[in-house]
Amino acid sequence: MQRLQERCDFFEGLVKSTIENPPLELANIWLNYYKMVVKKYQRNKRAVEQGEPLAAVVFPVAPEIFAAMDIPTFIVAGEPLMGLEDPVIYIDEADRMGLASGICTLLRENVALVAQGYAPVPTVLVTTTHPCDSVNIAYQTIGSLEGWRSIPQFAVDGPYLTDERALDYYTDEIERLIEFLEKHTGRRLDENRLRQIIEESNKQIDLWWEYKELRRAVPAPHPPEIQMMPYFVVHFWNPGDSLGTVWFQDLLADAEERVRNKRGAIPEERIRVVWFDFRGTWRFELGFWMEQEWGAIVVDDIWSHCTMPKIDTSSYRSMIRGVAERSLDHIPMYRQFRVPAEVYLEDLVRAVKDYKANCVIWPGHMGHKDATALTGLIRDTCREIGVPFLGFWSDLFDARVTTIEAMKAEISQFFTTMGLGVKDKK
Amino acid sequence: MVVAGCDIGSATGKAVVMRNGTIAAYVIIPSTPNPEKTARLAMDEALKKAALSSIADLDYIVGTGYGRLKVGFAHENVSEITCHARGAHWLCPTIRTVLDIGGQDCKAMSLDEKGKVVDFVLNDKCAAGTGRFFENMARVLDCGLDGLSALSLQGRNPPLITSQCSVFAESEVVTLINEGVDLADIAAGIHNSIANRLVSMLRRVGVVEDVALTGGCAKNRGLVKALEDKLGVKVRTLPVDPQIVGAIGAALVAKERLGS
Repeated sequence: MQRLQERCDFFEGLVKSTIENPPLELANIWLNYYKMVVKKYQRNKRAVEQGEPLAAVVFPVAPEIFAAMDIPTFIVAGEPLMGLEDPVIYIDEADRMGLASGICTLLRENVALVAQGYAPVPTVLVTTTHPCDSVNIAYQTIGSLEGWRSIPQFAVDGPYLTDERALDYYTDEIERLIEFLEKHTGRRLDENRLRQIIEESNKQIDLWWEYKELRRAVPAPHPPEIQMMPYFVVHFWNPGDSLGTVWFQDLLADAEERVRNKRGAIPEERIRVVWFDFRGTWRFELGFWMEQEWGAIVVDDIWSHCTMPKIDTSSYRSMIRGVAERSLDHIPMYRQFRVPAEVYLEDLVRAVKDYKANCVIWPGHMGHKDATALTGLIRDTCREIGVPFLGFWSDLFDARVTTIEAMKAEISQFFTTMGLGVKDKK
Repeated sequence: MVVAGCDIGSATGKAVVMRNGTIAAYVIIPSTPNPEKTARLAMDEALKKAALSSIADLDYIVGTGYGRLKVGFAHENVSEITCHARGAHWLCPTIRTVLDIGGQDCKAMSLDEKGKVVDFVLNDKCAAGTGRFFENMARVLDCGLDGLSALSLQGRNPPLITSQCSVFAESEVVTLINEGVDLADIAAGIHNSIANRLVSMLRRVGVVEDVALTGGCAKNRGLVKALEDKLGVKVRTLPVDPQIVGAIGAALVAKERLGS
């Protein structure tokens, strides 16, 4: 409870400071985004205070269902470390717990934080069996922690392929999840409420696709931190909430104005980068340097790369199937790293073409072992479409593995060699 | 117009002076512990060979190599990948793949028809496939670098040396020596092992003919043969010492900067 209060205080502090000292650009976008986060944590807090159901979810799955059942969620693969100044220290804590160093650092950190009480003890624990082995280890570890062992647990099983049969299977899995939630939380899924949530969410998806069109403009209208927010608004904070729709409308209006006036996110855009993975916790430092030193802006990454479809609300089954489809095939990482390589490569080619990228960077995250074998295929694909490719090895959540300075050196060498941006002049 | 390129590597410093688009002089000297000093020594000697009295006689100088930031007299620094590509393409415009094997790293590059780098990979984290590895093996076999190369060409039944890490490979080689394996065979095995690693790097950028080798290790005939055998292609012989290709590329960049 204390941790939830701290989290509320942290994001309320951001709201307050954004009101008192608004940034020169995009103040409204940041402010309303923070308000959505605060609303989410206030809801979490109320659930704990009033003994209402609360679900701990390892990675996002079917958020529309939880919203429609009024079961607040806490994503244990990411939320425990949000707002912490130096989460890296919890990697050592994870080592002490016996978690192998090959497990994704994001999950190691968060599991250690959960063990230290940084997540509210939930009514139910829900996970997915995808997209990576680290999620499975994290789920099993969290589920066996003191105080969590007796919590009812459910794993939504994700098939490997992405076709009609796979979707039928996953739709049944979502139905099983609903049964589980109804049994263990006492909440019922109301079809009309689900329709309301999805219809609001569909409006947001429409706006997101429009935004995606505007993002094609040169120069890029918004920085990558803004580009990646839509996923979190649609699927993470308060799915189906009208606040999110208003936020999207503001986002779109701002982007339209910038595109009309050819006003870019950075003063002198010279390089457009597709960074086709997550961007690390060190993204601000590296991104700022890329922008300042090279005029290089990340125009797409897997958070920002929208493929999410609208959901058919004509029947109960069509809604469940639509929810399943979004979760299985359109959540970043589930989409790209769960399935055969073609999906990732096709998305990559589309990203390069749509956003007129000059180059592709693949950070080779240590936790994405399921994607490591892609490196050669990405290189081949980039060569085929004639776009320079840089791949290196890093830990997206621990800059000690490949330091920021080492990454800067790699990127500088790459830009220079490929004749992108300015030369390496003294 | 007189320009120069200065390539400061971990093992040697190279300087090339170019007058009106042709090589007027070049030098290769062993690196000192001070890259700035190496650069100065190399350039002074190259100036002397080109019958120039001082650096002031040069219109533009480009530094390259791992010590390029220490070439205090250079007007500009350019990465060695760019320079090796530029140099190789100038020497032989049909080159599409370049493998530069230096003292402490190696790089594979693919070039387009204009000599522009379209892809590259490099290994700068490990000694395998670099001059240091060969120096180490030559020490273990007590035959010198030239001797190692010559010895490898005599090998008829090379053993499989599985370790590519120079430390583990040394242990493996010592074991083979103690088992009485013929030294020529061991030398051939060493070259095969490194060629395997280099071929996998080359395949990542795509092996398109013509293929050129640059850097000091390109003079190792045993390595060239092992690579040719594994790639199934003939490595193109460059008309100059392959060790100065990076410095030539740097001089060419210098020439471009002057707009000619």
